[in-house]
Amino acid sequence: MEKRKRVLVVDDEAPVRRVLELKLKNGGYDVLLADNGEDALKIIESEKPDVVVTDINMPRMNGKELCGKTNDMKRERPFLTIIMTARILPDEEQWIAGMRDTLFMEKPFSPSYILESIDQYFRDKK
Amino acid sequence: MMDISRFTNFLTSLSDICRWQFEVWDGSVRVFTTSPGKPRVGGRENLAVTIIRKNIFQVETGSKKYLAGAPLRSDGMPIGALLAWNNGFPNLSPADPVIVEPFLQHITEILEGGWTASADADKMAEELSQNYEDLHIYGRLSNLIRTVPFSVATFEDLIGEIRGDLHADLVFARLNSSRNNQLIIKDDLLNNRISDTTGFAERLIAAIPEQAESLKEHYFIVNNSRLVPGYGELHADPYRALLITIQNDRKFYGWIGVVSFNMNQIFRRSALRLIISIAEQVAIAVANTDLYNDLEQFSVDMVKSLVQAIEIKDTYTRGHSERVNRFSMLLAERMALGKEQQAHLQWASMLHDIGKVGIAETILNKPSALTEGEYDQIKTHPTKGYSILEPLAPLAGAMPGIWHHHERYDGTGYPDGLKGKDIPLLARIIAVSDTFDALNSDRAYRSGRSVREALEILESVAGTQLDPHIVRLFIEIVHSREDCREGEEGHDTSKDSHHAIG
Repeated sequence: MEKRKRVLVVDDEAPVRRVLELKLKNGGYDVLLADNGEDALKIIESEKPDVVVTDINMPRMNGKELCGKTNDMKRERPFLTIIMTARILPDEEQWIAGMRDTLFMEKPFSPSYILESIDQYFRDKK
Repeated sequence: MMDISRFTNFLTSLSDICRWQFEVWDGSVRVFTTSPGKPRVGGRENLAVTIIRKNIFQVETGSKKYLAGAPLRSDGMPIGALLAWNNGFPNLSPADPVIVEPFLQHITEILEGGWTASADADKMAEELSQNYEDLHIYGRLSNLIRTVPFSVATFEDLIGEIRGDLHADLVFARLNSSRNNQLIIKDDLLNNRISDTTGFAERLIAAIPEQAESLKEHYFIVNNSRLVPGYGELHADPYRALLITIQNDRKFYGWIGVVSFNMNQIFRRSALRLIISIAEQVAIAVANTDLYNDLEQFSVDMVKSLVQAIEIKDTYTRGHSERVNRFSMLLAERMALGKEQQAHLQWASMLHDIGKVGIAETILNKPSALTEGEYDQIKTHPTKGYSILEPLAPLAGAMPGIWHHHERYDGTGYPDGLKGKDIPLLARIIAVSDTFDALNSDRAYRSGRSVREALEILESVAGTQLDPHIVRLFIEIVHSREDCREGEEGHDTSKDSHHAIG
């Protein structure tokens, strides 16, 4: 059997983590959790998850910084990053274009849409 | 489903301290043991199955055997068994069952409490998840609704989104407002299940009983069409339907309807709430759009009144403002002016002569040549127009077109003597249209010239009086359009001094 894919969920709001954890576990993924970008970065380095779903506004390293810091890692080991944000500011468009394997999700987010997007990512990779 | 993963450490430690062994059974399947390689007692599977069937505490004793077990329950129903035995047997006293039973009961309570809590937490997380979904839909739909004016296209998008989000077979909106009387339907999933969706939608609405209690809360729900009078006969297959009024402050605008043939599901309470609040917002958007349209119509009517005010005084210019407006807008289109500029030009070209209401009729309608003093009077009309319209803030952008429409390209016009491209573009456009129409129309002092002649004169003053580029475009437009040639059979010409041009 294929090894279960691992998703790291990074959000400082516990209910968001809980909801995504449940949704992704039911969707067949193993889930890792972090409530800030710094811890998330350590987990990404040590646990090498296949997907990172992160909020943008968090204490101790926000989602954008996290995304920027992990962007170079993806050269050797590609993985999907999903950033949840209220809206994309016009001056962020260019920054987004420079990020590898990165999706943006509007907030309020839809858990089922996040799951679908992750499923889609692995289907496309095959 | 038992999830004991969080308690296995607890049972293992407990076992280490008290030398009892524990096992958890799910029916006849052992899911956990503290005694993988250690001595065991026989008959455990049978005891587990019995305990689960009877839902009671039970002990089995033999000459070399002491095995106790208690059911593990979820909502009072046995879903597994916890077995326990002591390797110290046979050193147990006869009183031990009395001690063992409450002991096992306490442990099962801890286990049960644990997974009830985690099941509750999962349930809450699931509900929360559904709330997040609703919030997401609501956020997206609100963005759509917020566009004013709320157009039919927006409404179609909205209906389409609702259909997708609720996995409904058919979603429709029936608008009954005075401005908007139509039916919008989205039914991509139907696969021809309904031959006449329009008729079906209308009949669903018609069948709503007027006295239904739920209408006070703005909805009517059909959970199973076979069980609701008037609905069963509308389709051979059973379906469910949700009908929600679009209304705001008791003003009724129509219905939103959702239909599904999937009878394995029901309309969620939260879905009902979602559509009700969407319908409320739609009603507000429709009301706002009506207001917006009323206001816009009012502005247009207001301008028409103003134009009539000039035409009553200056009988020979009847229709002049509208023609200048028409020519100007053709030029604007040709020049690909931005939307905002076009709007300003609309107003400016309609109202460019409004200042003439401040000039004596005797001068305006004088059949003979004007004196210098009278001509000076005439020359005040652009600035007078400005004074008349100044209080109307939305017309601010049109003002340059009105103020400067008698400037000349060579800088000898009035009121400011601006030159070339210093003259605002709107004014240069109006000047060309205005000049052409003046030449082409009958005036108090002469009859109109033919189109050909008028164009020739335009050409001759291109670069001195008028912007040559705009004159060229104008001539191209006239040649390419029949409807500008109405005045073709116009008359020849008397001469006249100042009036001739402009």
